[in-house]
Amino acid sequence: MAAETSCLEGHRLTHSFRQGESRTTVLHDVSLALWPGEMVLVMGPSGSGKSTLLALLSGLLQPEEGEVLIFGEELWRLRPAARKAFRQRHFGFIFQGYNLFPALTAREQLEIVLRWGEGVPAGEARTRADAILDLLGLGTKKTLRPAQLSGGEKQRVAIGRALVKRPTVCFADEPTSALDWKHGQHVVELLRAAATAEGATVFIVSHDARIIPYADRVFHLEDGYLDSHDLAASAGMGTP
Amino acid sequence: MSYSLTTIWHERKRFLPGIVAVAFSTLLILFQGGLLVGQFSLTSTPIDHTRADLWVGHPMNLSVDLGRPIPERWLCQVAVQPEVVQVETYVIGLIVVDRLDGRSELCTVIGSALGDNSLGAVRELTPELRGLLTEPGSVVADETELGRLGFERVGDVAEVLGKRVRLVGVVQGLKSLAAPYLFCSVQTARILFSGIEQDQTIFILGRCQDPANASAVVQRLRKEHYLSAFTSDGFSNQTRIHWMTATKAGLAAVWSAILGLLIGLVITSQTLYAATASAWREYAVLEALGIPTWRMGMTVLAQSFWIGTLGLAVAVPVSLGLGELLGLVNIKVLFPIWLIGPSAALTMITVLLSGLFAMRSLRLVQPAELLR
Repeated sequence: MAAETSCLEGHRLTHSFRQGESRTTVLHDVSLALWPGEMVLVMGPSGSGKSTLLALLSGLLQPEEGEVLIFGEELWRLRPAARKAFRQRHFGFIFQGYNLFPALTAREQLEIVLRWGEGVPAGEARTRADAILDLLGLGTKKTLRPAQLSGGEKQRVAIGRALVKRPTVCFADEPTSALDWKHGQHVVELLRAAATAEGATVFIVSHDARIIPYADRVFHLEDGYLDSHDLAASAGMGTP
Repeated sequence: MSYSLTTIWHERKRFLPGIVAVAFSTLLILFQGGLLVGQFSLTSTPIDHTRADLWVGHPMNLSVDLGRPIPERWLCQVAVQPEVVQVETYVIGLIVVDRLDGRSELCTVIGSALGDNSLGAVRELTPELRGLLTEPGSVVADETELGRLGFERVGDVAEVLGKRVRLVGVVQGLKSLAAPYLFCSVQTARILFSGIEQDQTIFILGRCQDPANASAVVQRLRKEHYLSAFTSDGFSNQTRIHWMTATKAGLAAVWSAILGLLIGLVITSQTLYAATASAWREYAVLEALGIPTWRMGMTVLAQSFWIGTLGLAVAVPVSLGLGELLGLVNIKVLFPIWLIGPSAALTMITVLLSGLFAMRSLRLVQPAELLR
């Protein structure tokens, strides 16, 4: 793949956290490029720096060293408001917890992203939210609140919330950790479908090895060092 | 239904303290204000229950019951005004009544003309009572205040500055704030007030052909004749405001209202802050998705708006109901629109302010924390 087609690049990213008097470096000189329409999986044990890498690439955390380029533009050179607007236009997020508003229905969880983020009129927001929920197999659960949904259904609503605005890049932090594999597999298939159908880049960090067959590229992160060797390619899986 | 209202309904246990605080502080303001307005409206009873459109008195006059003598010849200057069709004298003042049991009571003696078209006689004085009052030394009092004046029944007597007065009848609904009203003829009042000369009066009352012209007459009397003149509404307001400020009761009510508002502000602010802080994860996801912070702030403000609206929806009917209840035991509580409107507006402003304070909790929202 040509470098100029990448949608997101991290160059020599280094980051550390202060713990009392000492500092712990959680990422060492990590470089990574993501291309449109691919699903990239970064694996590693707990504390390996996976989530920090996701936070740095997505603009939620500023790297101590290195730079993040999005369509060739340095993310941290943007003003905070512009950076946020950039996230609004291009990024979707799926976090470990579902983090759904308890009072709102599945449909409303998606609607607010469109109405508050893009100023989409109520009618259009409802249509788009319903379309995604139908796609996620939640057509009959649109008016239910989180307390009335199973864990798998809640995660699918969280995925819908990330995908409803048709992001360029969708970041997922341990999307299957709270699910049994039957539901987890469905979630991964949905993300894979989004990458294929919408041309969205899906960046997953997880320690769940069962996701590997669905990824185009798989990297291993341990103690803050990224093994640049593509595990999927060497295993003959994925379509990088 | 708006997302904010949906949230309040779904998490009503969490938001209830805020709603109760707003309702309670509004109730405090409204009810106290209503009580104050109701009670001080009693000070202008002699004005509000008569037919006069114009009141002319001493330039230093502060209220209806604190009048000073003026020359009776000023009557002519009022009478010659083209809009004025009737004038008469009116004697009123505070005086000490010596009860037969030896105790004393301050009361307000009101001496007015007693004819059928009298301007100064209160509406409650029936022709029969007005006829009885023509006898010098006769007085009428409100039935609820007989005990304070030392009267037990019609026909009883008391002494005013060594002069005997006899109760010839009673009226209802003319209770005073502090000094019970004693209604009598101008002649009786002159006898009781030894300080008033025969060619003096306390007020000159006038009636206009068209009451709508009273204001213009008042302006002319002030400008061209240098008289201290008022319309009946204007004088009624001045009397109430004078007593409200003179007794510091108004000030006490304002401080109490401020205290109520502060309590409402703190509790509502804390309720909203806690509600927003507890949803920080959900807000953090929206923050990560690039939703503008001001948009989330608007949600908190909308919640504060609904808390205020619900609080008012409870406080206003409860205040009105309590007012009605007190009315049953002869305690006057009034809720004019100029009291309810600003009280409601003040409550909403306070609640929206508490929403602004609560928005601080959105600063805690850091999406990167979701990745820890």
